Amino acid sequence: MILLMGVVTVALLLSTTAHVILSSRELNDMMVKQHTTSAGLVANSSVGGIQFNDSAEVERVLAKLELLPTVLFACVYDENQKVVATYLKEGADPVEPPPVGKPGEVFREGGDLDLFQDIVQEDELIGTVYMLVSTDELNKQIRNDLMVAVLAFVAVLAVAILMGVVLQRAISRPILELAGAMGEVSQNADFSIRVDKTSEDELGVLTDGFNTMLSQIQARDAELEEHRRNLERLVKKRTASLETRTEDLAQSNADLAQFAYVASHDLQEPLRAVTGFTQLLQRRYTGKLDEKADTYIQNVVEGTTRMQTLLNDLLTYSRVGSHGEEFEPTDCNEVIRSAMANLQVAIEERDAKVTVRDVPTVIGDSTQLIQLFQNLIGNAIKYSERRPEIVISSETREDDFLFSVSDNGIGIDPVFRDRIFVIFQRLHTRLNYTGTGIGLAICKRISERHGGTIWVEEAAGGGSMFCFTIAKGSPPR
Amino acid sequence: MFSFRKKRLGSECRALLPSWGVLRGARFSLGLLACLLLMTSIATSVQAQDVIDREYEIKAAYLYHFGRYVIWPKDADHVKEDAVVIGVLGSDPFGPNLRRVANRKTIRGKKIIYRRFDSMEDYQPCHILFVSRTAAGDRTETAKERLAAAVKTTKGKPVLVVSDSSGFEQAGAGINLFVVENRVKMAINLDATARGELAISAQLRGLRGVVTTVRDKDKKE
Repeated sequence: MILLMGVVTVALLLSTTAHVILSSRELNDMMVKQHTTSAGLVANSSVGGIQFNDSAEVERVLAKLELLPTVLFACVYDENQKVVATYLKEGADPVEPPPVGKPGEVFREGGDLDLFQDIVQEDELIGTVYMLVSTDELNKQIRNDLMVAVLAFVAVLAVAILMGVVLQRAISRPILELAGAMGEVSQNADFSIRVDKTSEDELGVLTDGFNTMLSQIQARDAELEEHRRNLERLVKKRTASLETRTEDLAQSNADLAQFAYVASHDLQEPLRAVTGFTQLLQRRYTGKLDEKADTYIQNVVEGTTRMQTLLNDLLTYSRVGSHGEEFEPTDCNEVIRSAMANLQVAIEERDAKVTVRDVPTVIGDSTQLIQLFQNLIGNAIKYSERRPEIVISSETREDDFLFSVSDNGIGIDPVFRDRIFVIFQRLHTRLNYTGTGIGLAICKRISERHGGTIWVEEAAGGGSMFCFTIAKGSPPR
Repeated sequence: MFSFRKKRLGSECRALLPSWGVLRGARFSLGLLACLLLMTSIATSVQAQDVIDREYEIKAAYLYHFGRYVIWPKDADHVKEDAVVIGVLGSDPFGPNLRRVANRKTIRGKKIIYRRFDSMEDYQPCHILFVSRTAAGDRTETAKERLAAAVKTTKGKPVLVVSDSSGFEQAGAGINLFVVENRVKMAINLDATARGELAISAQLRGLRGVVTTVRDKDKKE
């Protein structure tokens, strides 16, 4: 504010000074011009008098200068610089005609003006006019001008200051207040601040708008908070229900597994009795009863044998989760060798060729891993039409180990790629290929226990490539 | 102007001394007295001569000035010329003055031609004709006769006839110059100038200190 007023004052001062200077110069010029004109008139009128030596006439011409009160003294010289006539203002001090000077105006030190003008007729110098002009009037005028200018300056400055104060109060202050409030809001993120409305004009509108905006922000904030809380509640509820469900599922799984184990385990004993006694029956009475009896007994034996296998498989399946051993470093080379040892008969029978590429040591249950490999290799041998050629390879990845067992067998229709891992799902009848449909389900369970997954792809050449992953350092399930 | 007057002083002095031998002492004082007398008379004659000399210088200037204060009719013959002709009838009293004026000055951009006539028989058209007081050469007519002849010849023509003899403004001259109290004044006869279709500028007529305007005393009804 003060800076602004300072600037205004300086500007006003400069303009006033400029005005005073210009106006006094103008007054000066005007005075000189006026007297130059008068001198010119005198010159013009005195030509005849000078030429014909009528000094009385020239005197008469000069006498007319009494109409110009600023002229103190005037005289006319002829071409030889001799004084022809003079004029002296009434009451003025006597003046000696000065030596003829160059045409023009010269201000004396005392302030008065010496004015010389040539008298010319047709480019011929006839004489000279001299006028002594008083500058009293001029000075008085200039002084008046200056006083008025100073008064004006003071008055305008006062008005400017007054206006500045009024405007500041009316406009700047409210705006600055608003700006301050805005600053506070953004700095402290406090949306409860409101600005008081002080007028009904545009500033009032601005203030209202600002306040409304803040209210809206606050409302939205509250809404958001409400939503957030709702979401939290919702999430908590869902999580709780999920947790419950998971617990239930886990419980039910455990129950199922338990049941499956108990069932199969408990069913084993009576089944053994049935199998045993039917086998005895077969041994004792084959050929002793009629043909039909032999067939019936044979069927029963086969059926019980099958049932036994099924129960064994089921038992094995349920045991994967419950009877698993502690995980420890297991060399897969050893695992594969064991699996192949178990499949020795089938390998020899089908003259299968098994190639093992680099396999690593993993952290896992060696028994189950043997089972896994055994199943896969066994399947590869079983489900082939020509000489089985099996390749086992592995890849060490960032979080797990990827194993693949690929064969040149009959392949699997992509449609069934998921189904085959479901328990008891078989793609072929008993007549074509033996099996209970539980092998791959067991493999799936084992790989899942080891923190991985199992799937099948088509192998190059039409066969199948079974891939499974074993997690690195996976905890036991 | 004044310097050669003093020279004559010495020679006059010597001419008045008759002989060296007879009255040497008295001669000296006589001579001195004579010189003193002469000096005084010369001094006065210097003064008188001064005016006389200045008189014709001033009159020559006036003739030149008249060229600016007199308005000739536009369609007169010799006005169409690109020069202003100033003629002198009779003997030239101006000395070198008028010729000097003619050589150096111009009137309204036109150069000035100076002519002198012994009589009106030699007359050639002029703008301004000055009738001299003294006759030219060994002629015997009076100034008045000369003026009459001039007026007669220039009757009806736009010629400013100027004279400097007493009363000649009533004798047909347009402007007559005369000396009063060491000042050259003039009388302008407006009838005479009107006859020549000449107009006299008010600026000249208004110089009451030197100019008197007159009309013909005996007007023909």
